[in-house]
Amino acid sequence: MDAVEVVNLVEDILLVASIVVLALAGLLTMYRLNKGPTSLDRIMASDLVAGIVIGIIAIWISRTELEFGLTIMLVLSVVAFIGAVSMSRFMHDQVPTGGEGPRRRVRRRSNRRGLVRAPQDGGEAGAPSSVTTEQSQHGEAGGTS
Amino acid sequence: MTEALLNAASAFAALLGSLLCLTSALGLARFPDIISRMHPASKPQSLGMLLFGIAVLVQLRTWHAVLAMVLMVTLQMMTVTLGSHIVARSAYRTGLADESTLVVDELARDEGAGPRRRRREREAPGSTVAPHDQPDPPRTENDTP
Repeated sequence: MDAVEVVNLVEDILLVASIVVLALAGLLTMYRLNKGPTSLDRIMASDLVAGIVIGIIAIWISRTELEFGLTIMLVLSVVAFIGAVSMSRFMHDQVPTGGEGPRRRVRRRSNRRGLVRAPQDGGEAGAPSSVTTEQSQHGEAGGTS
Repeated sequence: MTEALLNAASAFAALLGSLLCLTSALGLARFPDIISRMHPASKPQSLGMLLFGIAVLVQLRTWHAVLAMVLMVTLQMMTVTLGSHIVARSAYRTGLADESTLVVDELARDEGAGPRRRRREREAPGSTVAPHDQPDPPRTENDTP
């Protein structure tokens, strides 16, 4: 048996093994995607599913040497990120937090405005008093919560 | 012979990447908490994408592949960490994270009021100015996009 044939056989065995390993990973991820108690678990699992699909496409490219798979890998990685971020932001605004969802949302918005306004107040009153305005705002944020 | 060896090395990199995907799927399926699930879902995945990129690169050996894979790996390195961080922060803010497992709770200090701080405020009003709640230096920009 030629040396080149042996190396090719090793390559085939490695690729098949990686396909099997990726299938196992996909099964475990599907288990989490099915069971996951919250939507955030499912978001993370779907992110991992995108990674597994990218891996499968990489192995497919290694086998067939088709170059348009590169574009698919690139687009899939970006789309997975955008999906995870938008879903988690959606969850962030939607889920009530122990019965006080709307109140928390209002408080957070006011806190955000305070943080934006803080440097302007400090600039008007001078540099040394900026620390005190920051402290008073922290006190307000703690008091209203 | 050289080409066959390079192909075998590419298959080996693909197998390593698949094993990392399996690691993250195992962690995602087995870990008990949402924040501890975030860790295996994101960390091995970026290295796995790097290994898949190396596999495709060594297999194809064209400049087109170099461009696409460098772009994909760079985007993946940036976006996987960002996405998992956003998911974990969303879990913290919606109260889905089990905060009794946290050792350091830096988000509570940064946001002014986390779940832990709200509970402390409910138990003993006015006690939230703890030593680790010292106000930060004045911030010029908003930390909640």
